[in-house]
Amino acid sequence: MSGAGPSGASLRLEIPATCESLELVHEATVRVATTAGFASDAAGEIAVAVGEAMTNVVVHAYRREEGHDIVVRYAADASGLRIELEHSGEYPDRLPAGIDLAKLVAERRRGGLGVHLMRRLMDRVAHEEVAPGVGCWILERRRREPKDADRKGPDPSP
Amino acid sequence: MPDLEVATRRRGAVVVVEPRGFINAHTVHRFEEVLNRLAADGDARIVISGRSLSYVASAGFGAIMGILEEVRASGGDIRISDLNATVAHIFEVLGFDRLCQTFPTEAEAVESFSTAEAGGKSGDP
Repeated sequence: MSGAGPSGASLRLEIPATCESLELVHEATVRVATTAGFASDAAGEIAVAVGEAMTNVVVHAYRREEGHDIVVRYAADASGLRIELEHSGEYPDRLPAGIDLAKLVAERRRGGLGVHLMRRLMDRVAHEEVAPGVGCWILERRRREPKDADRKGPDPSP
Repeated sequence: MPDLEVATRRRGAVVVVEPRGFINAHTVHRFEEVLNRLAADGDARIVISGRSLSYVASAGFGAIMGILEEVRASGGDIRISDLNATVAHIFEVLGFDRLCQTFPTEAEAVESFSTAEAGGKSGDP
């Protein structure tokens, strides 16, 4: 997916990397996605996925330390919507594989769902080192026609 | 609407939990506090009504996941009702529809505990 073209749109937010900022990012994402032509249900799903990436940055990259910022960039074009969340905290060598929900429940775990949820809601989820010491979550959601059918399907895993 | 308020009400032997607002990593502690208190008090028949929920992030599902085993070990269960389309879809893609029973209405979710008891069924979906 390319960046915003002549008929596309882009937006950049630089905000404190805190859990308090999550709702602001959620609202901004819903607004950007609906403006870009996604149906409201799909826009809500995209916003949840972006919130998961931001939560990962706040909790894991910055370990809930105050004083850090995160840059969120949106780029919409004819093919869909791309969101980047750039940070300078710690980042994983590789993203976790799938989850075993029954195992997580048996172990009474309360986490471990975020990356899986992002993958299920978006067409592409990646984390890349874009410069030395700078990590970036990249989330993409393609358009589907008709617009109301642009929702991803259920988890096919057992 | 505030970011999250969590109301509870009793319907017979069942406690209905109704989160109002949204559940994310910032607000989830309020939801967890209520669920943990119910589990500690031995209230093992729980219906979570999504009627007033705008959205739920993975933190909210994690809160349910964290006490589900304890509630079922006490002979109870957590059942879900009134999910909006977005929350229902996230519930489904995470595989929670295979973990917890969902019902269109709170009344049906509450009634399901009586039905299961009369039929001698376990709380597992």
